[in-house]
Amino acid sequence: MNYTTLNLTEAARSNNPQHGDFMQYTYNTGSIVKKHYYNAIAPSDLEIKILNARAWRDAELSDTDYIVPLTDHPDHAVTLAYRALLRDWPSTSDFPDTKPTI
Amino acid sequence: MASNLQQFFPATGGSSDITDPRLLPRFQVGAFLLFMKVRWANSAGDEDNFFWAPFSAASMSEEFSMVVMSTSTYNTYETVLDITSSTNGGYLHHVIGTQLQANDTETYKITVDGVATEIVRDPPVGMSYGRGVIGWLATQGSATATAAAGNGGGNGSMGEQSYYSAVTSNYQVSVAQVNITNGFRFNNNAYYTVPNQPLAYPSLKFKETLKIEIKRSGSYYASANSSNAGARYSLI
Repeated sequence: MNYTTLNLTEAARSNNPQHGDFMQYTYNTGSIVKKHYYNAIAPSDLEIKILNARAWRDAELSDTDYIVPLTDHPDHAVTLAYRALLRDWPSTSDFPDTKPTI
Repeated sequence: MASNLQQFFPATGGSSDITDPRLLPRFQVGAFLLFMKVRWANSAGDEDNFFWAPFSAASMSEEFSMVVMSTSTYNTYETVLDITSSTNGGYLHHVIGTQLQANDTETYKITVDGVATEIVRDPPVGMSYGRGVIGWLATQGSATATAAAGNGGGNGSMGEQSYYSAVTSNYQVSVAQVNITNGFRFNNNAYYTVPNQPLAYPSLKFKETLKIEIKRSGSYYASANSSNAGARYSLI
């Protein structure tokens, strides 16, 4: 759907809006939508690394969930210790580059 | 604009479209527990830039809108979306509030074809901070990177896909932990997915105009995206 834009914050910037400007989009169907313009929020390399690290951490916690209630499991104690390291990891200087190990 | 069909099927009967925002489900979601799968990334949480990227993408201007709400001026409505004219109407799918501490309120003013409704997120029981969300969400398992036997259904998995664990106590929403305040359900540590095809879910119908405004009494900083509020909608 094609549209034309009118910058309601500053009309002179209709074709070159700035972050946060309030815009009016007039579609070729006649519909009119007013909303804010934001520069596309692109994640940084560090954010991607953090996202992946957090996903790995969550997966490790999920994969060891079943051991928690099994108090007679041979790896119970070491698993609990590992899970504590996983939980603390994001707040340490090792995050996100150095994964905790047991 | 009235049509012949509306004369045959008056508003008192027939239509199953939801037009009252109070009938939409309300959720109170903990930080980093609201996910959405976007095409250029894994399922991303509500504090990640990935999550908010489509809300600011011009190519998705018919589906998403957002506002970065003020962290210095409170209790003043800010406009998330204002559809002042639409040829065939459309649907409101989701309103996603900002990250708030438990003792703050947030008011969602949804004006459908000129009729305004205010829905207030009161301080939820048992929550330290989180976002209010209005609209249909799907449950999901924990945001695991891989799908393994006995594990969640994997990143971005929704609904029943999340729950094939043989250990039925794992990865399932625990009803025992639900608190409800003014209709906003809060389930401690429950993960949710914002459906990436919201038209497959019930939505709020508007015939011509729709306006979404939000005001709040305070803010909470969990990330640079904590003051982002958004709406998902479709023009027909």
